[in-house]
Amino acid sequence: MRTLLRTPILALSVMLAFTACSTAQQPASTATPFGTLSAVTTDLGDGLYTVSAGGYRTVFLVGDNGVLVGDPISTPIAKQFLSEIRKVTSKPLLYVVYSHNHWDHVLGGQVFKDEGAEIWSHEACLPHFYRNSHPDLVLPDRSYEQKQVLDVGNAKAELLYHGPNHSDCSTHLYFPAQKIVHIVDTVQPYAVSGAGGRMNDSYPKQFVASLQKLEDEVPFERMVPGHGGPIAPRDAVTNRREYQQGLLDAVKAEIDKGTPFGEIPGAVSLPQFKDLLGYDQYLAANAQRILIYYTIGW
Amino acid sequence: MTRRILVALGVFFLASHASAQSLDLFTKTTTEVAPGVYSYGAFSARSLFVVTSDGVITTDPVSAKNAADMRAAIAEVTDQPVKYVVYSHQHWDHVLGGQIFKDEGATFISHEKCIPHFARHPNDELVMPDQTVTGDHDLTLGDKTLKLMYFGHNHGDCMLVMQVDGTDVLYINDLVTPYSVGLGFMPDYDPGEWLRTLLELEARDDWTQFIGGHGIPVAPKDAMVQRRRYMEALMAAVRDGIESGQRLEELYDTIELAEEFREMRGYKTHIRRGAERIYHYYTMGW
Ligand SMILES: [Zn+2]
Ligand SMILES: [Zn+2]
Repeated sequence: MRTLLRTPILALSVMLAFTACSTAQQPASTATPFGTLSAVTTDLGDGLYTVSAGGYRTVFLVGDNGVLVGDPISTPIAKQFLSEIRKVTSKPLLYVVYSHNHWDHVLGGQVFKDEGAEIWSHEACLPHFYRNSHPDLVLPDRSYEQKQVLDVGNAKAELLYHGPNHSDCSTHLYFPAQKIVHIVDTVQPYAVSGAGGRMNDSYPKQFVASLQKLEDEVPFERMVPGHGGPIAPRDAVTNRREYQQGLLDAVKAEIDKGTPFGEIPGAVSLPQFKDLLGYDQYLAANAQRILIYYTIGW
Repeated sequence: MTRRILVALGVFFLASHASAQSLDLFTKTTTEVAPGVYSYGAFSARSLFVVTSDGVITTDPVSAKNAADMRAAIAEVTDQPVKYVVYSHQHWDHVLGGQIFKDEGATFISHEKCIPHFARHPNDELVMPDQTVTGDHDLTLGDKTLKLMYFGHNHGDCMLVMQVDGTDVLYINDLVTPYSVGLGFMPDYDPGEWLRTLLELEARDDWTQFIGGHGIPVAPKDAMVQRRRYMEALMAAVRDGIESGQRLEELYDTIELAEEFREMRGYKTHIRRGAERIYHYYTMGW
């Protein structure tokens, strides 16, 4: 088993925060160039809240019986999230839902588990967790395959699986009463591919199908991301899907045209997406990942 | 477009300024590495085939063109039919084009974990396996046994290492391209498990040379030791960087390994993205 490192999480969140939306609505005193370090909670209505800290964001839903919360992120951030939840309700924590397998979102679950929560993830996360364990990672108590509804008392969340995208075990966490879906890392609103486009753990083609399925099957109106500003319109999802399809098409066109492979990442241009965050810096890296997809089928 | 893909991969795997220019990527050769055991292919892609008293076992067809050439090469050493095709792993640059062997009645085998990949990424040129193995398996045909060995998740999660029983040669496909750093940044690679796999292979004393999926026909064990040491050096450098507070961008721009590793093929092209993959491994747990 590997030597475990804890220090990088802050470095990573700093990096991610650079690519995150900067709809700065946090109090100036807590804003840093890297996002908000102290926790900020936004009320989304009917018991649904989103809370961010250190460049990361999660959601929580308060019902008659208790609370459902999304990613814990890390032990210190989970503690910040818990104190934010406690400002809203003293009800027990019933459920934690991991968005996907990456450590920068799922560590620190013990903080919520100590409040009584049962931890859920998609079942495809389990092999990742078994292979790469971490002392701050609490294994899920329960997993699901396609859809799971969790009820916290007159308030429901739907755990939906739409196939591989940013990872192969992403849960789209849908709140039907609010028509809001929480999507972590697969869609960072109006930005190119996550973590500056260098994040390789994506399934380039299924990515499109997954978002299309979400758009076709779920009548959401807004989304809450895993980094950056609290909420974005449904169009952010469509935009990300179209960018991904644009990348696939553009790289394929260069292959078919006979552009030398080494030149393809630099040759790809998607002017209609030039305003996306990270476009200038990371378009070529995004294109390189697509090129590999077309050559080895992965 | 298959040949263009091979060119691309040749470039990806082997590109390295001076040495790449003088490299002949495409001249295919057949090399007998043990009695009845052959390394077939070119620098761009390479496979193993085994001639037994009751037919031929071949491995990765690579592409329809390569499979046709390999079929002709097999016919030069034996009149026996091809009875089995064994896929080393799921990547298209090794497994496409097997139809010519299917047409003569060969049975196709892969590790069972390749199947979901094949299902998710359909390809018209891919012959689906007829049989799967779940772990170590002895494939006996006539007077020879091809040992299929599974070491877990390393270069993808369905890689089979092969050895004809009684010989000192392993077929390890993409686990090591001799004297090259390889494409270190792919998401289906598990760096820690890959390193463990190489260490386990090294610890075995029943082999002295290996056939990789690209590169020279056969390489000494030392070439695997070099690649394992390269991975250890890269992982240590990234860990040191993280522990001293370096951000990914800084690491990406400044990563440099000891002189001995800089001479490996592909070093200049791939070292930075290799470092980035290791950074994600240490920080995101995949
Ligand atoms: Zn992620
Ligand atoms: Zn491969």
